[in-house]
Amino acid sequence: MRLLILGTGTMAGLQVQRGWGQIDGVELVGAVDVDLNNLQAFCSKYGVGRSFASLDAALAWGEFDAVSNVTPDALHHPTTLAALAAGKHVFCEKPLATDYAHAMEMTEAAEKAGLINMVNLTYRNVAELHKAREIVRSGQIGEVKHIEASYLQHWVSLRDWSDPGIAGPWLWRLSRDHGSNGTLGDIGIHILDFTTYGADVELTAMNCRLQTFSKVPGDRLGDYVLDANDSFIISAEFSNGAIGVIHSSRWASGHANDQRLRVYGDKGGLELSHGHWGSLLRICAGGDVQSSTWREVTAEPVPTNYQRFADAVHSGIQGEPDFRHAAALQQVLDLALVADLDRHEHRV
Amino acid sequence: MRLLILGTGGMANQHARQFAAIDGVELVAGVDVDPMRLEEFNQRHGIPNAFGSIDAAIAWGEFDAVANVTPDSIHHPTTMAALRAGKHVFCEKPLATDYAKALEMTEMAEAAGLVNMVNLTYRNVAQLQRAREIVTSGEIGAVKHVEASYLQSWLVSKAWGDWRTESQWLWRLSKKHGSNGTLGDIGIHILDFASYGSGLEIDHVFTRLKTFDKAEGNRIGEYELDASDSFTMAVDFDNGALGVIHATRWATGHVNELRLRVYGGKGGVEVEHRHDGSHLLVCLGADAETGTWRELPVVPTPTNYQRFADAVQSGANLEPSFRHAANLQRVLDIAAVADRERRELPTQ
Repeated sequence: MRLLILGTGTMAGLQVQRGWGQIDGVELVGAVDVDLNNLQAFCSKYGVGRSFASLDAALAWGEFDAVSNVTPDALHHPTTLAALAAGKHVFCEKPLATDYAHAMEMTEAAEKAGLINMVNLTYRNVAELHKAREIVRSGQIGEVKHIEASYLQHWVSLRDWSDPGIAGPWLWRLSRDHGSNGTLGDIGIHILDFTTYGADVELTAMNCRLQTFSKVPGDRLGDYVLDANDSFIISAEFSNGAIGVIHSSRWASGHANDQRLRVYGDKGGLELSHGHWGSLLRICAGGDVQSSTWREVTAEPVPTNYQRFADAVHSGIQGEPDFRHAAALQQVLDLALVADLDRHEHRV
Repeated sequence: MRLLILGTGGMANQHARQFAAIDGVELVAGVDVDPMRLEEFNQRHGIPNAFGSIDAAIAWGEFDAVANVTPDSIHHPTTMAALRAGKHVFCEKPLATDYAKALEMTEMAEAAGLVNMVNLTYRNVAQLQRAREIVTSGEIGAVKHVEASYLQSWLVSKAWGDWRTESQWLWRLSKKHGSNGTLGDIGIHILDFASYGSGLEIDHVFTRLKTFDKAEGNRIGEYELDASDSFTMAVDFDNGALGVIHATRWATGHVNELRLRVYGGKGGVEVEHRHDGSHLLVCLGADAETGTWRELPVVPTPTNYQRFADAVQSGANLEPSFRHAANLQRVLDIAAVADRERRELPTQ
C-alpha cells in the first residue's frame, strides 16, 4: 500500500512510530501540510520522498493508494471527500467529522465508491476490549442488564492555568472557538466506543449533562475563552433494554488516563480497566457466581487499526471500525449537546 | 434511656442487640400486633413489658424513646403518635413513603424539641466518615466529579437465597407487596452515601428506572414482578459538580457493595464498602501529580444506635436527622417523576 500522510502534526508522528512504520508492505510515499517547516521535518525524520503543500497538489500527482487523514477535526470532512472522489482509500483520525450530517456524507461517499474507510479509534488496539466483547457475544454472562463506564483524566486539575508557559499547548482543548468540543468531543467518543463495542450494545436513548469549571478569573486567557466542557455524565438505555451510566471528567485527580467498563448480565459480570499502566479484564461467571469470585482473563494480542487498514486495502474487504460506525457515535455526541441544552432524554 | 422497641420483625433483633450493648440503655418494652412473635422477641432479649399497639404502650408511658422498626408505611402514623406523647424517636429507613409525610414527621419532632434520627446504616462505615472529613476539610479541593454505585447480585446469585421461591425476596420485586424496588430499597442508602461522603446536596436529578422480565408473564404466584431492578441517576450538586449514582440487583460478583469516588481540584477519595470489608483509598497532596493512591487506616465510628443514645442523654439532636432523611425522600420522589417524564428536574 502506497500511503499519503495528510497532516504532519504530533499524531502523524505517533501513527508512523506505532503503526505504519512497522507494517510490511506499507510505503510512506508522500506527506501534506500547509506548515512547510513541520512538513520538511516530518519527511526527513521518517524518510518520506514527496511533500505537498495541499491535498489538491498531492491528488494531481496521484501516485498513492490510500490517505491517512491526520488533519485538525474540522478539516476531516472536506479533505476526506476530496480523497474519496479521487478513488483513494481513507484512514481518518477520530472524530470522523464535527457533526453527524458531515460524518454520514463521508460514509455514504466511501460506501458508494466501494473504498476502504476506517476511523482510528485507538482503544480498539486494546486486546482486552476485544476479549470482553467476545465473552459478551458468547453468552457467558447472559443477557446484559447493567453497565457502568468511565473515562477519567486529571490534566486540568493538575495544571496552574494562570501560568502561560504551562497552559500554552493545552489551551485549545479548553476553548470552543479554537475547535474544541471539550471532554465530550475529545474523549467522549472513545468511551462511547469502548462501552458499546465492549458490551456489544447500541445506545437507544440518552440524557446528558455537560459542565465547565472556572480555571482562571474571567474564564479567559488571551484570546482563549475557556468555555469547552470539562465533564459529562450520560444516563443511557441500550438496544437490549439494559441501562447504564457513561461519564467522564478531566478533573479526576488521581487518574492520569483511565477507562473502566463494568458489564453485568443475567448469568455473570465482567470488568475491564485500561490505563497507561496496562489493562485488566476480570470475569465472574459460571460456577463463580454463587461465591462472587472474580478471575483475571488474559487476551491474545490483536492487530492494530493500522494493520487492519493495511489488510483491508490489500484484500479489498472493509475492516472495523468503519465510517458508518463512527458516524453513529457522532450522532450520539450531537444528541448529547441537545440533551444538555433542553434537559430531556432523547432517543437515538 | 428507657427504650421501647416498636415492631419485632427481623431488623428489630439488630436494634435490640445493639441498644442492649450500650451503657445506660434499658430495653423496657416491645410492641407488635402479632402476640406470638412479640412474646418470642421479648424472651429472646429479656424485655419485661409487651403491648399489642403503640397506643397501649403510650397509655402506660414508662419509656423515654422509641426504636421504630415497623413496616415502611407504618413509620408515619406510629412516629407521629410517639412524638405527640413526647417520646424521642429512632426510625428505620425510609423515614416515610413520601416527602410530605417525612416533612410532617420532621416538623413535628423539631417543634416538640425531641431527638429524631433515622437509621441510615452505612453511616456506621468508618471509611465513609473519614472520607467526608477529608473532603469537607478541603484537602481534595473543590469537588468536581462524583461516581456512586450500590451493586447487589441476588437476582443472579443464590448466596442470599432464591428469589423465585422465597417470599422474603419476592415481595421486594412487587409494588403491590409494598416494594418501591431498587430505588426505595437501596436508593436512599446510596443517595446518602454519595451526598454525605462528598459533602454536597443534589440540585437536579435525571433518573431511569428499569424492570426486566424475570418470569413468564412477569408474575410468580400472587407476586406481580413490577418493581424496579435497577436505576441510573445523572445529577448535579449545589457547587456545580456533576455525578452519576446507580444501583442494580443484577451485578454478579458484588454481593452488597457501595462504592463512592469523589474527585476535586487537588485530590481524590474512593470508598469501597463490601460484604467482606471496607477500604478508603486517597490520592492527596504530592500524590496527585503521580496518580498514586494509598489506603488510609480508619478508627471505628460510633454507630447510629450509640449516637441516638448519646443524643437522648445530651438532649442535642444528632445526624442523620429526620430533616436529612426527608430531603433524601424528596430526591427519591422527584427521581420517580423524572423517570416518567424523561427529563431532568430540580430537587426543590
